[in-house]
Amino acid sequence: MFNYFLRRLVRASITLIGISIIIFVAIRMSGDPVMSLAPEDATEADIAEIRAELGLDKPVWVQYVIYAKNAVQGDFGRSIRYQQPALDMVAARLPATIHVGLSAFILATLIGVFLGVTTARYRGSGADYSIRMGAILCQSAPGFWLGMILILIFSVNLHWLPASGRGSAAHMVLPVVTLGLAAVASTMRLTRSSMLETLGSEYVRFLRSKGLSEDMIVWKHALRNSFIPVLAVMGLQLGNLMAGAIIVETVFNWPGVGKLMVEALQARDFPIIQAGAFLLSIMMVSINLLVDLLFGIVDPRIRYE
Amino acid sequence: MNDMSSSFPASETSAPLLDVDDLTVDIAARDGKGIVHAVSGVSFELKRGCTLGIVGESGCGKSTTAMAIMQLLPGSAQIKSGTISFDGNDIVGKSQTEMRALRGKRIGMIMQDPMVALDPVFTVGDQLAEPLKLHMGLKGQALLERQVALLEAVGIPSPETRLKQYPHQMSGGMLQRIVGAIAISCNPELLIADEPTTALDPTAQAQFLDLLADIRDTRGLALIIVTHDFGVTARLCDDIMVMYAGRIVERGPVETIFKAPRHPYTRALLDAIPKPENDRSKGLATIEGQPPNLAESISGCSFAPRCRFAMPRCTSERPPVTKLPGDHQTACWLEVV
Amino acid sequence: MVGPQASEIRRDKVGPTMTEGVEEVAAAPIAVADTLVRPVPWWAKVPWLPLILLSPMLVFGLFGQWLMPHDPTLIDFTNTQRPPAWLAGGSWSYPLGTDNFGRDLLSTLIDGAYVPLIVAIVGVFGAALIGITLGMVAGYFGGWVDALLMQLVDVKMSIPATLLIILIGSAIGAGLPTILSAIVFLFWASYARVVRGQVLSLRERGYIALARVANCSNFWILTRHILPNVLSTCIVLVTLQFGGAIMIEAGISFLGLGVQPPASTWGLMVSGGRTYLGTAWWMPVFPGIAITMTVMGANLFGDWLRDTLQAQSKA
Repeated sequence: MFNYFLRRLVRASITLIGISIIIFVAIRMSGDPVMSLAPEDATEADIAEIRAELGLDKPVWVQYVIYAKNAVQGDFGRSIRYQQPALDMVAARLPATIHVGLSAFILATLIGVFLGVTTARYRGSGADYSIRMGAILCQSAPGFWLGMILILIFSVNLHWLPASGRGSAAHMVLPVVTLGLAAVASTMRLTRSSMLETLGSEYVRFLRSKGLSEDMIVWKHALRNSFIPVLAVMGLQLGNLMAGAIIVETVFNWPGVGKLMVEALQARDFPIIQAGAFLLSIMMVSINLLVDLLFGIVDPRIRYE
Repeated sequence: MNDMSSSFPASETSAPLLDVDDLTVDIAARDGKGIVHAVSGVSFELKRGCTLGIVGESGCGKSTTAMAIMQLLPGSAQIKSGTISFDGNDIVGKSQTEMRALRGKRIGMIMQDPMVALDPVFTVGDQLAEPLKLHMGLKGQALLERQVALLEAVGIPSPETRLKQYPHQMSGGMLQRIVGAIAISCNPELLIADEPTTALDPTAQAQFLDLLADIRDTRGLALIIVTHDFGVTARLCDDIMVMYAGRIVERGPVETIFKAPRHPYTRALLDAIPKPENDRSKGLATIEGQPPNLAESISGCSFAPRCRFAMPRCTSERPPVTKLPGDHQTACWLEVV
Repeated sequence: MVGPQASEIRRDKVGPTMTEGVEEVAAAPIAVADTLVRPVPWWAKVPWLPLILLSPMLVFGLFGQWLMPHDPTLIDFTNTQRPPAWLAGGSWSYPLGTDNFGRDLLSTLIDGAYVPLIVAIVGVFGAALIGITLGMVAGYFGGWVDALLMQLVDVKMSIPATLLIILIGSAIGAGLPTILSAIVFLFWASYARVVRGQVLSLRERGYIALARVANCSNFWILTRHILPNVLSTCIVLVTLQFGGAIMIEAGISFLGLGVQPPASTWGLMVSGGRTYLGTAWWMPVFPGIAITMTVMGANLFGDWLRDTLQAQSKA
């Protein structure tokens, strides 16, 4: 078990390094930081001086090493607009993003797994077909548009829920639902497929030969076995939800990391983009690592490895 | 504990435990084109305490027949006609709830591959306990004692430790014993073993067959063994039923079948078994040709295309069942006077 | 005996739009079935629903120029924000209403189909080309090449899609290259995984060894023997990803990173119409319906294709 975790940790670290390289390249390509920092009337010499100060005259790989060292210490530079440390600004917005992302995730998992198990068990029924159609519909509608539709119905027309901002519980409903709908559909379909595959296994036939009730076979045995592949994907899903919140935050004016990054994009505030990208990626990688650990607990075959 | 056994009252011991009459099972072909007649017109009886071997090539319908008795056919299969009578009650068309009262409690099953027969994420003890809790309502200490007793009965050393282990921690031979323990846990009257030794290595095979014989003798079970291996039947069976292309071609006591088989297919099968005293220069005896496509309806005897003794009548009319002395029967035109 | 690792399962089970799951296998419900499968006539086998859903995109995208009732660029400030024909104030000469510039919505909708269609097709094929090549190379040569590819796939899957879009948009600015790069970056891994898996299993089969013995070059073996086998899975992926690509284009346009006006795409129409949600809801709603229909049609078609090809390969 310890070996397993260790190997996964090494893998995750390499992945993080790969991600950091991608972020580094993207930010470097985004624009010359010197030009944005230099005052209007800077001379050639001034510019060269700033360049040397920022270490931009050194070879690329050296720049990367400096950048990586800074990143590990949490130094992503200062926001060009607000002149505050980028990481602090992003971290301040993190709770809001986690709030909406995690809520959507919990909702999606509970409803999605339940629907997935039920549609697998009653496969072929009218309810199965309509639920699955509904799921595909939810996955086919762009998130931002779905949010707009919900705003149209529940805010503009019915005046039940607020259209933007963060504050009361009512403010949470629409963003979480918008974010969660696609996730429910995805979890449901995955659970259903996994369940169907499990229900076709030989050991299920043996369980039936013991005279066990269908409920027991589905909810005790099949679910636990099917859940293993579902679990593997759920880690990705949580990470995706945190990042997918970017679009939802923009639609609903939710003050999270995503909205900050979109504003930074339009204002070409690269340190913020960099810090935000790092934070979200680290979250994603850590979540996946956690899921792998959970794997070891749920699947005894790995535990005794 | 769900006790629906009242809908299946036990009857006197002289009547057969299992009576299958004219059973026909159709399976939808995988590509959606047509229907495969997996089992056609199968009839046989099994008395209490007797052991029947069902023998035949792959695809002859022997496993399907066994599954039909348990009503565990796949969704694409359907019992087209016929009756299956267990202890005097017809079980074709029984609801799943009613079947569950039988399964595990009065009919037990052993499957071919023990490595996939058990749920990998639950301990062996948990899976052994399930039928005990369900059908016999055992709990706590009584449950544990029975589990240990069962594992000892199937010859597994240090049972307490084994109960806490997971299937992937054990060998195939040991797993099959556990499958056997589960199958007999609630003292069923009938045990169906579908190719129980095929997935085991030869040593484990021999041990398991001994175990089956032992269980059968001490508990007086009726036993159906589905196999393609005659050697297995020689060891355990009272009667042998040979199937080909979904039909029974010959049935009789084990001695008669081995010493005086009447159907050309049975003879060919027995000839195909390599014996040390055979003339090696002649090579292994085989049966030429392929089994017929069961999606098409066949006129005449299904074996005729491959039969050494085929007559014109064999390809045009299906042979009737001829009863021979000593509870022996066969379906072949050669036997019809 | 060791169970699979979470990361391996993740890679196997997750498709391009996270909507693919494990392939559905026929279950084994118990005992006597009610009806058996009967042969079906050819017209029942056609996937009508997906084709109907896909038709607006295909028809408008390919033949749009000849179908528009009005000039989509014609600005008429006397005609702004007219509601759709069936509502008060609407008229049947402007069936879906007009936008804030007085342009006929139906015409702009038809006009906006072309770019997403082309972008999606080009992008997905680009991703397929790269992914299949990498997958074949990694699967065939194995060793460190394979390990490198798997690490790359891991990296890709650890960066959330929207984040990647922002990074690309930041790096190369708004426009067509951003959309195409995003599609390629997000979709290549699915092909690579699938193809690598197939190559690994095919590699062990007899006829590859025979080809080796006959001194065929590696390239020959790869293209002639292995490629045809992986093609059917890839075709299914292409159809499913088409829908995903449309979604990505819409999302990129929404963030302002896609093609800029006066070029027209459905995604742009939705984001442009956002401010008019309360006053002229038809402006963002109808383009969104068009996007949803297309993506849904692509998903359903891909599912149908996969089921059909599976059934055929088993027969």
